[in-house]
Amino acid sequence: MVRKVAKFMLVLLLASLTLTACGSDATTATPVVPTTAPAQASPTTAPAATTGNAATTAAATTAASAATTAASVATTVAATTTSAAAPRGQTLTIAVAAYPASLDPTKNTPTEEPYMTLAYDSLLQFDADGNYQPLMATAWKWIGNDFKTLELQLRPNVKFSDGSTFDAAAVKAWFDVQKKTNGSGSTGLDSAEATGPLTVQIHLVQGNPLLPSFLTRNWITGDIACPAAAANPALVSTATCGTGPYMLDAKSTVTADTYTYVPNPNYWNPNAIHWNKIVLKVVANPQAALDALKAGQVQLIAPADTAVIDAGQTAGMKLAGVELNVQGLDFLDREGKIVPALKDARVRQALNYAIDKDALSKVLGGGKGRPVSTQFLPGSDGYDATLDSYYNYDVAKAKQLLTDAGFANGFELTILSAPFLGFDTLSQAVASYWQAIGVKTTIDSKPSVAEFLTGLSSGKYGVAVAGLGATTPTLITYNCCFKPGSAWNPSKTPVPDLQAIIEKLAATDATQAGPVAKQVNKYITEQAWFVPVLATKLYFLYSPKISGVTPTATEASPNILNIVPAQ
Amino acid sequence: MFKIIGYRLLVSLPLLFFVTALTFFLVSFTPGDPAVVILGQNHTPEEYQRVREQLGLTQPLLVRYGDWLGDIVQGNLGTSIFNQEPVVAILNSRVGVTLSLVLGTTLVSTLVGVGLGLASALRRGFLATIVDTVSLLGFALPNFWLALVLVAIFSIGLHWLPAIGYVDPATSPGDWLRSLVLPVLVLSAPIIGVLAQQTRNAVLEVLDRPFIQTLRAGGASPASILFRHILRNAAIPIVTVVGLTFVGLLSGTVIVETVFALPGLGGLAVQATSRHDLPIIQGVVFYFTVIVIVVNLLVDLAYAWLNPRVRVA
Repeated sequence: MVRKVAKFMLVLLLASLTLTACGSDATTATPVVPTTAPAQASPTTAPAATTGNAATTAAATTAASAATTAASVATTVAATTTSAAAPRGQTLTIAVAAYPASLDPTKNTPTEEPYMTLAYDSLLQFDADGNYQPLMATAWKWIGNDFKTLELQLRPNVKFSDGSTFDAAAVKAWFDVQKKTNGSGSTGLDSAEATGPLTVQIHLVQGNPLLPSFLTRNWITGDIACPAAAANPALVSTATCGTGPYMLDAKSTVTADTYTYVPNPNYWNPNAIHWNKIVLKVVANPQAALDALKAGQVQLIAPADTAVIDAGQTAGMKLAGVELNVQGLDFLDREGKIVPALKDARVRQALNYAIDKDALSKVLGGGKGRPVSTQFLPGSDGYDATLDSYYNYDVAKAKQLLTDAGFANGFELTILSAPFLGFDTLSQAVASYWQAIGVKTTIDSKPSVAEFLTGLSSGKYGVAVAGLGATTPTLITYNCCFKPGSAWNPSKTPVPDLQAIIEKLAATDATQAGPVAKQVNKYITEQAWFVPVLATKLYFLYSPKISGVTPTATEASPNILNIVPAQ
Repeated sequence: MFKIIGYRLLVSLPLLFFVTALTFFLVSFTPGDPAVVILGQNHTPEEYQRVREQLGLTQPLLVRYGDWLGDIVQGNLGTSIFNQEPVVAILNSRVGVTLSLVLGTTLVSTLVGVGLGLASALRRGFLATIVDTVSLLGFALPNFWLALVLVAIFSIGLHWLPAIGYVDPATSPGDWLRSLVLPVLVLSAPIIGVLAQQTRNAVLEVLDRPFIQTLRAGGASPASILFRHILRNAAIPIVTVVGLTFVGLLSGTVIVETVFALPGLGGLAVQATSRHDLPIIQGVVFYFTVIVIVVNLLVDLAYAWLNPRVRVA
């Protein structure tokens, strides 16, 4: 009998193990909620979790402060966004790393853009070349020449997912909500006015030629929720009600873990719906995301951690990505209050020449970086390829500059650093190069983002590590990162030379801003405000079973709506 | 038996009160400000004050705790600071995952661990060596490493089981079971060893007692000896370990939840803590405390059933 009992227990053991083996092919099963990860708007301005906020802040601040005057511009694009009907895919699951605090568009930042894009067609959109294209607004023009009033002609015959009508009254109501709730896109907004059934004017407190860019999916501001949500914004904190191709399936959604979207039955352009279901699955662990991609449970990791890219490609996955970040250092103390030597531009230039960026770009950032000498990247109107190699590695020149500045024997400084995003490694590498020209460096690493950010504005550090890549229009970058008193330029001392260029830029129509924006880049690079080391990309790893994962210089986060089943 | 239940429940109420109060005040005193987390570093004093008022953070601490207790009586655990979603709804969407993991792990590890321990005690020799080896391996293998290996074999290699995620049993019972297999195996590995050794030692101790020899000499059947006498006498320490294991698993699933991207309460607690979302933290603690109280009650009832002297005491 004892033997029978032992056998029985053994059978139980085998049975439990057999459960493991009785599954079906993962490509057809995919039971476990598929996923997607939000394309972090990220490393553009700040480390880690703060990136999206920083970007939003930058946008908002620009809207509030950008200068005035310019010629009236009328832009009308006739194109309609329809595509040929194609068989829909069953489920697209995207592994995302972050989740939104709320689904309310007024509370969201570019970091949460994928969650919004699925359910809200923005008023305008960018094409692959960075040109504005119609979406919910079919035409738009500036009223007057001060960039304070933009008139939008809205797309007719559009309904929200709840069946209500999309018109000027609905758009005005939602802008009123943004203004009333002090939402993320409200800064600089004076009012919205319905001047016709399908015509609305947006009035700004101050002129801002970049307003159209804030009405694209990048900035959420142009995502309009239905009148019911305007009357009660709480409706869209855990649900969606927009004009986008999909809507949230609340029953299949677990907050902060799985967000399931199903087709919007009232969508104005059904041919643009390519999937029966799209799932954004939060997967914080990069290895788990890669495993799920390899197992066929997810089709896209957005964005993909550089640590898993090689393994993913080896497994046959595809890779897309555009440059979004510049890793380097920021001279916080250009006035020389803490480190007197840093007041002299020649010293700052010497510290740039002293670093072998070619060598560092091969070992830092997952070995996928590109050596650079400027903070501006392709996609920004201020990008100038000729400045990319402005500071080539030249120890002799660095020493000569230090001698000319009266610091032939070097000096000491402390770098504000942090353990995340590889900052400490970068600091240590740079410190070793500076040691070679007599600059003794101490590294003060702050363990948390909050402590690091506090250190930035503390006035106690001459130099800080920086993850700042300018891919947005220069006016936005200026407000976030170069303006006196901003996050990466805490000194509040005015810089007249740069201010003059900025004022000229703010009075220039966005489509003509390139030459002026490049002057900003040139000034900051020549004055060595930063020590740019390498440019890194935001990567997206995806299955060969899908296509359309196409990030662009203007929009580093690929538009999920363009992803289709591979033919 | 009813006396035991009544007594335990009576003792549990102050415990529930104490634990939630302690959590409330400890979290309130820890560094970090939810208003700052929501607003980010760049905000005006007016915005900061407005958000604090919206969150009710300008109220005295005791008033806030009193409000929370008052809401509990009505089955309301408040709303999340960040998305205003009812805490009960958030917790209910995740408690199934945690209970599935914990119950599944307890069931598998108990069946396998007790089975191995029993077989080892009865057969001894080589089998005992195997049990020791399995136990050691279970302890030694880091669960995240074991998870990676199992995923590589069964998810990526064989495509038998999902690598991540959870399926609600109401959606598909089969997929629910499949989504639990790997996480449960990973969680069970170290526990199986503990239970096997515990069971073997307990059974060996009983086997050495004279009354077993007497029973055998009296002609009692092996099944009767095993189930009515050996297992019943050895069960109390085993039940104790099972109960402790269950309680430990409640907070011990966080790593496995992360590796398998499971939306459980452990991960939720971590997220809420990093965001200083006090209502969520309080809710998780409340749920965990209630579960612990229920488990302890069940363990006590098991003691009483296994050993009549406990009932008398």
